[in-house]
Amino acid sequence: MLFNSLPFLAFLALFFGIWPLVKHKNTSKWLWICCMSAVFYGWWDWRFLFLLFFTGAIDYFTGKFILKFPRQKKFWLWLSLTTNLLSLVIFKYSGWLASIIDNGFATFNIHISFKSWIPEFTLILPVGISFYTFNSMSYTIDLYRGKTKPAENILHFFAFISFFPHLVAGPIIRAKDILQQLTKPIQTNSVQIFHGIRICIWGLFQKMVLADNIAVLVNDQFNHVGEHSDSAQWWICMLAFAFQIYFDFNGYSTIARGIAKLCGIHFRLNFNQPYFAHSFQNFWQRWHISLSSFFRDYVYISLGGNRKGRLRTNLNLWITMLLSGIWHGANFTFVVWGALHALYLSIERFIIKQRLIINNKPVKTLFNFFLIFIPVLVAWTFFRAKDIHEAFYIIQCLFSFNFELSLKELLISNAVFWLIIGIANEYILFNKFKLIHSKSPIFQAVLICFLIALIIYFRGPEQQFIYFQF
Amino acid sequence: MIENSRIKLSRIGIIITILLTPIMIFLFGICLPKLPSSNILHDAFWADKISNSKKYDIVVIGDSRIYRGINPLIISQITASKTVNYGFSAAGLDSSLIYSALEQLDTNGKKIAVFGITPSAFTQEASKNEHFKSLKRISDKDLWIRKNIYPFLGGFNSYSLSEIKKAFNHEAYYQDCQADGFIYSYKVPSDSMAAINSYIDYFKRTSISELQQSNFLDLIKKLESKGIKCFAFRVPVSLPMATLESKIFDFETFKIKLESAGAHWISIPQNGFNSYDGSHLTGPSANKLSRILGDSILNYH
Repeated sequence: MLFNSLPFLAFLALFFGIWPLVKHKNTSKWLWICCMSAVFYGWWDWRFLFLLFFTGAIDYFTGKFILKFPRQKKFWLWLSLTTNLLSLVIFKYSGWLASIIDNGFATFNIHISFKSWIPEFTLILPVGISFYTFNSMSYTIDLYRGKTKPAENILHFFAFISFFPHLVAGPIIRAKDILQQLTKPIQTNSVQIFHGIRICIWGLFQKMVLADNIAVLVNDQFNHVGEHSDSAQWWICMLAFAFQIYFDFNGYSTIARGIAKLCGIHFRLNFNQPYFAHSFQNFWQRWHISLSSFFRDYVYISLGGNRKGRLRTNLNLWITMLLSGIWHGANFTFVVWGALHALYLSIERFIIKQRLIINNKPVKTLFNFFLIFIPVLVAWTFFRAKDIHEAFYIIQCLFSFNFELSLKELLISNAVFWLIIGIANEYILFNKFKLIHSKSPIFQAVLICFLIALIIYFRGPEQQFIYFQF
Repeated sequence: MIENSRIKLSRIGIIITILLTPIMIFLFGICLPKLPSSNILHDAFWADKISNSKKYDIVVIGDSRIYRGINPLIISQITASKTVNYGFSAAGLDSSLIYSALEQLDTNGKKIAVFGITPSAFTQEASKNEHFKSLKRISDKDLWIRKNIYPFLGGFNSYSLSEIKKAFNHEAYYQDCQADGFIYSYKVPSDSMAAINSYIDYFKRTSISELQQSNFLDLIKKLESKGIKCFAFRVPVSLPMATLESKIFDFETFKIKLESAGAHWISIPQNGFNSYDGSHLTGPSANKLSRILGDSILNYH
């Protein structure tokens, strides 16, 4: 079920229709969240509900055993991690790994098809598997580290794991942040409701108007990669994609936060204007914050972080970024994307950070643009391309500085118009004038109504959220 | 105290939002130009077409020239037989499309299949039948929503800049989705040369497949042997387009092969029809062609 679909509107009406009746008692509240989240997830493919509940049940019980048998807690943690990672490997990576092995054998003229041995069912990627397994793992790891309290019962645990706003495309939430909120009596006042509505609409606008309209240009260009070689066209396309993916995913996260807010639950911010970043490290503190912090806390720091010397720090960084790349998808393009960011971060640590300390603000902004934004844009090429060859072809086009075509038609296209509006929103209206945080409720109400009208009349062709595929 | 005033202000905000939203939607609705066709109703139309469970006596199969060029209602009236239009964009006349179309035939009815013959229907590109297959992939839940909810949302079209610009320039592409798979279409201003260049480009990318043609002819033989009467005709287009098509496809030879496979060829005069882009017929011409087809089917029987 997509947030931007009619069934979701009906679903939401049903959920909030009953919510005031159940929200005061923990058991009824958790049960209602679990049931409705099962409907929300099952709407896509009910068969995969078993996976959600199976991995969830393993984590709940291993969590219990971690506390009950502290001497064997390492074993229970590994059992939990293995189950989650194995389900990811089977359902997300088995097809990819099999084709790598097949191709490896093929180079020695041995033709074996491991891929054809894999059951077809496991080749379907369950929506949101990367998100809910990570949510679930955070619970057992935090219990192991003594950083969170256990769930009161299995219903409480599943309410946290399956809570529909974050279930299929994040943000990845931590047990310590949510479990407690779910036990507290929920008091939603007008301030929270108005804020929730406001950010829901803002998220919908980002997704349905900005991202979906921009997607037309990007999809058209990427559907006919070989037919386009003009550098300017590709720079515009990659700029468009950078903002499409931002508005798409930030839109989803914002809607999720808004819905959670309407339930009286607070989700942390998942994006904080990442294209304003003044360093690559800062970019990752602003982009998909819930995933970055997950990898930082559970992988990078677990590996030793920056405590074991320069070389080891860089090794840890590379491992973390490569894992982050693979997390996004079973394709070498994501591995290269992760590797590129690791490279950027390594270079930043060794050279740029030490030499370029610029105090002049306009010069600094310009430097940030060329040194941070452009490399990020180049890395997005690997993220969006269907394979490595396609990505390299695009990069070749970008840097061939071959400007053949007249861009007049492209520049007056609908997609470019919304791209400009999106960038203006991001850089001027919401950064300089803080429109979304304006104090006047009348102004905010008018803004919401205006955005609703824009969503209705200027929505782009319906596209699935990009992060659903992860 | 401060918290109370924030709660009060937020309550005012919520009330204003609830009251102002319908007004804002209404204002946008009246300020924006009327679009000549509704994309929501289009979605409903295609959902209806791909999941239509009604049974018919006559099914007309082909590409966009068919769904814009044949009005089944007129054929139904003339032949007194229930007729459906089974045309899809860039359709190729291959077994997947044809068997799916034949499922619409009433086994106790007249069992007539009418094929619109165009050169592009036998290309490798068309054999992918992307439009038809993309509609087939839509889930049952989505089809239900499109068929049952979308017809009530026809007024909430989404606008693009080019559409607004066209509307202000009094340019329009009228597409009225009608019953049984027909889209009554015309363009203002019309340009009978508009499709020529894209058609030439299309045949640079792809070629007519001999295999597709022989598979089609084999299928016709099979259908005839099963008691399904097959008719075929060349869809009229503008004169320059007809000349271009005659150069890339030998209609005369194909007609002879079709007739020897058992089908009946309906000769349609290539003049006397208006096309708004050189490839697709205007609504009135579509009605005229449908009358000729109806008469031919009636007279054959």
